[in-house]
Amino acid sequence: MQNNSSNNTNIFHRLYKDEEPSEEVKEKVMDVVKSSKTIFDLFELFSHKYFSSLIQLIVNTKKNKDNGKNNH
Amino acid sequence: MEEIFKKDRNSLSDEEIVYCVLKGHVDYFEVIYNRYAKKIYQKCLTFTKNKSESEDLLQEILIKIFTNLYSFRNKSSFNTWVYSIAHFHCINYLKHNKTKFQKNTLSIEDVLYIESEKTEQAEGDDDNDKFLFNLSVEELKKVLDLLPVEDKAILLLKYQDGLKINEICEVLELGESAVKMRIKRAKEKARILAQKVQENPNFHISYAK
Repeated sequence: MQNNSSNNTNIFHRLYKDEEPSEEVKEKVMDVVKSSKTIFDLFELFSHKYFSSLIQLIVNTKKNKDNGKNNH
Repeated sequence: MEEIFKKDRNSLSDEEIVYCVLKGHVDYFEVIYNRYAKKIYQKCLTFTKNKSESEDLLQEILIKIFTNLYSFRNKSSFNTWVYSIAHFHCINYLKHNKTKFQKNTLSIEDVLYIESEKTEQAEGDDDNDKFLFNLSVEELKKVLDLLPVEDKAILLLKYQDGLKINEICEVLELGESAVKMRIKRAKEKARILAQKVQENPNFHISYAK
């Protein structure tokens, strides 16, 4: 058995410690976030109730656009 | 302009960042991304062991966090709320892709076998802790892979996400004694599986058809 007791770092934190998501994920997430700015301004005026559905609409539209690009 | 927007955004607490985003300064969400993306990604990797799937999951989880920010009510810490969303998203993903991840799930027979063996081998909770933390990274990966999803998930909430017992109670909507019991049982199973992995690095579970 390999003894790691000398290493004080929580072993669960060492499982994938060198793995990081690509910058592309950040770009995609922030793209959706920034696209929602107008909706954010609108929902200040109306209600939070429809916010999730509207953001989901943006996500779906972007996915469809990406799929369209990939198909060409 | 409010005082909060004059401060360095990286010095703000999570809750202050949420306030700023909800005030329409959506670009502040980047701070949330920077603070949590890597940890959530590593959690996803522990579940899927696949980089591309984990990136997809990460993207979905962060958008879910963003779209639900307005429902965050400061009842729990933001940290707990975020890991709660990540936890259930990963569990649901695994459930919807059962056939793909079936190999990661112990059959009832295997669990019963372990449970019966446990009565002979059971050690104190502290011994299980020591044993778990003395495993090598590769051994722990293998043990987590062999554990049933629910056991793996609760150990990750406690040790990977660093949630306290009362925070895990909030996430799982369970009482303190139930959570403590689940963690104890998960560690006992992990210990028995670890012993098997150490005895035989090629140890695997034979599945009931």
